[in-house]
Amino acid sequence: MSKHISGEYDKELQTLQTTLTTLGGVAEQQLENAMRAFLTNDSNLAAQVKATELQINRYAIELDREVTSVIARRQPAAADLRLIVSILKNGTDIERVGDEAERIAKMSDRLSLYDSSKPYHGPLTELYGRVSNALRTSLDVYARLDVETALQTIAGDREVDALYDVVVKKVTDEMTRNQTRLTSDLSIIWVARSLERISDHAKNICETVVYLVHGQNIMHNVL
Amino acid sequence: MMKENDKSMDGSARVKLDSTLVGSTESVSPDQLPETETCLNVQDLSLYYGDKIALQDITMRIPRKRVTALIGPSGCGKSTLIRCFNRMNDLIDSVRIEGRIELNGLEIHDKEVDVSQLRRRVGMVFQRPNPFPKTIYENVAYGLRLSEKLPKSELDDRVEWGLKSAALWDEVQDRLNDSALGLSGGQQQRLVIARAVAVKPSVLLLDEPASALDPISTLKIEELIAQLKADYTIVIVTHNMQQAARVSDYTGFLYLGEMIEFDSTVTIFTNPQEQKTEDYITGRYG
Repeated sequence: MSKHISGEYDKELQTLQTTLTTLGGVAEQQLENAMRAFLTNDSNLAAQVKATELQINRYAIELDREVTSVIARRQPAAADLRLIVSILKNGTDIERVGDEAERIAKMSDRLSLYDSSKPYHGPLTELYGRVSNALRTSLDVYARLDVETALQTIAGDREVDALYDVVVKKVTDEMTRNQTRLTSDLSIIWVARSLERISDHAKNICETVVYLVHGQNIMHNVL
Repeated sequence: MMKENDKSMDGSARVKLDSTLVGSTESVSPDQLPETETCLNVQDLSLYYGDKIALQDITMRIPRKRVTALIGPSGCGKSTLIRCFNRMNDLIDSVRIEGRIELNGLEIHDKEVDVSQLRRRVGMVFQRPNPFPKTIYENVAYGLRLSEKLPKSELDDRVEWGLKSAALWDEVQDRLNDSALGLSGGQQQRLVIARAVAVKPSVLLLDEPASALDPISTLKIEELIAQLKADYTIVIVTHNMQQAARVSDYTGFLYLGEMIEFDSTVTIFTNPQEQKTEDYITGRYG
């Protein structure tokens, strides 16, 4: 894309993209730390995730402020308008990824001790691996405007949903067999739920890539 | 003329915005509208000033009772094109026109077409308000007297109707016999619109109607355009892209005398298909 006649406008858009990229990077790290804290019963790391959530919120507020300012002063159109809309939407999705990561970290407190010998461990870690990959890919394809990979990632959300169902089934089986750890087992379900939601956010981000490049809204499978 | 789909930022072919997703008739391309909804049908229109070509193979269908905006950089042919619609360019000796322009199916260049009648059906408002140095009443009544013989009471009614249509009546009803030159610029422009509307044209051509006005007067003109489109086909030339986005249903982008893209305003301002349009709309045109 060629530069605007106004170099200041280019700088403002670049600032927005930088803020969003930073926000995405922090959210990605938050997910990793939260899951590590949960799986390894690391309360210090969980506390760190909760503290960093404030930083994400500050970035999200800053992004909203910058976007509002550009809209008010530049009245963006065409590709610029789509870029601004995508930044605003993705900012919201990434901020919610942060919320889910914090929720996962909080689940550490409700967990007596994570037991990796349980049957749900395999599907849960696989679910985490897929979601983590989907989030990383979504941020990457947004930066590279890679529609093809975005569409593949969107399709992959179905597998995440299926894995989520497997985890829930394994945990509920466990709860039926042994009712002494209900709170801990429930927290596993909540973590799986958060992971599944993060995958939805990653899917949303991928959908904005299609919107940004082709101007088509493919949300909610309307096409 | 429409071009093939262009390449986008990542080099992939662009996808045409699916109009059904927006759910508004204003997002439908003018080419998709039934022919019966066409007011001005322009076919292969070229215009020369002597040897110099100013408009090149323009083909477009301007929908009836909609607002169509023409945008583009200075000298691209916007005003030249709009002046073709009521044959204002006939007044310039060196002009030569090729192609066809049909107004509701009638070829406007046919020999039997009375140019005065054509200009009554296709009214025009210019950048600077040009009221006659007469009273407010006479400004509106003048064109009516030329085109119709009306009894005084009916003439009064039509003047009032014209001024009401132009959203000026409330401001001038107590001073109809005052000079029009005493009105503000915004009021004068609305008076000129009242003058054009009073003779009940089919089409209103607005050549940068608000570019000499302050922001409030501009908004009043824009509001007026939104009201007038219920009864008239409006073609507006504007340098102000945001104005085109606000007031029009369809937008044509002209560049060096060519119609680069003509589509619904929603499409032009959110997802134009041509790179040149994209560059101009987003301020990348140098």
